[in-house]
Amino acid sequence: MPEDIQDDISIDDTDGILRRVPNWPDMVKFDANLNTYRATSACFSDKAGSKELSITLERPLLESGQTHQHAIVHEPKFGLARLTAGFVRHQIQPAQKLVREPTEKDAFHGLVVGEKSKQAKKAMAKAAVLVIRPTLSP
Amino acid sequence: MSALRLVETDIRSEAVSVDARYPQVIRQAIGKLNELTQLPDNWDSYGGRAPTKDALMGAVQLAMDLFDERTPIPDVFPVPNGNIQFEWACLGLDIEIEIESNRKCIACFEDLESGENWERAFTFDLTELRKVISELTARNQPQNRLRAVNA
Repeated sequence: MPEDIQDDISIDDTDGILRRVPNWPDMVKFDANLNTYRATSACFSDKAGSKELSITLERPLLESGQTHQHAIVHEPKFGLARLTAGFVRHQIQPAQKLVREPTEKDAFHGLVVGEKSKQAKKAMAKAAVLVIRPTLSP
Repeated sequence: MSALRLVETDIRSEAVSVDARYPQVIRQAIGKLNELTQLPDNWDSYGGRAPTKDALMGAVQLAMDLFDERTPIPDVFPVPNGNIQFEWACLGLDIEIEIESNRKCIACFEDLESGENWERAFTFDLTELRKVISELTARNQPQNRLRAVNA
């Protein structure tokens, strides 16, 4: 875990963190072991060359009067997967840190920072709930 | 390998066609890989890289090395770093193989029945990977599928 990054404790463990799920290629699979559809772990891979996973912070998004749909406003056919901050902090190893990093496109943008093994990414994929299913292209 | 026809651009492999005599699992995997050659950069809206030629060719090679006609068809996904991932979540096994090239991949394996669980990088020696694909293939036999359903 990068030592110079401080975990933002104003992001509560119960707060939702949202990650966009592309509609093409279809990044949702049927997990026969869980008997459910879920996003692939590839959706929880850091940006190339970094240990940072971009997310949208759910609580400030909703408190601003917007909805989950606003998190995909620039990619309206994408889906949206939801985890909790507490899950990435406490349920995967190594533990992750959360930071706020507002951008021009997303005022509620944040980062999940830390080394992510394949097992950690798979754990995130299995725990994530699809709050918006991607709209598949014909 | 003469059944493979590669049409290369200066960026990455553009198309791979496979002889109909190859098992369906290989033809379907390569069909999906062909689709992924059309992926642009930023396909995930987070700056994800289009699949690299090395990853695409490595995935083709791996499929041809490890799959036979009884191997369950994998899910095939791009990874934002330009790699390709094969996944199976069935028959009590969770297997993910992230392919960087024909010389490097990382696999994550979990047997939900025995609890065996590991993650490791592979280069030239695919012995352990071959074992887990063999186990997956063995569980995909009709008599074993029945056992899994009844378990």
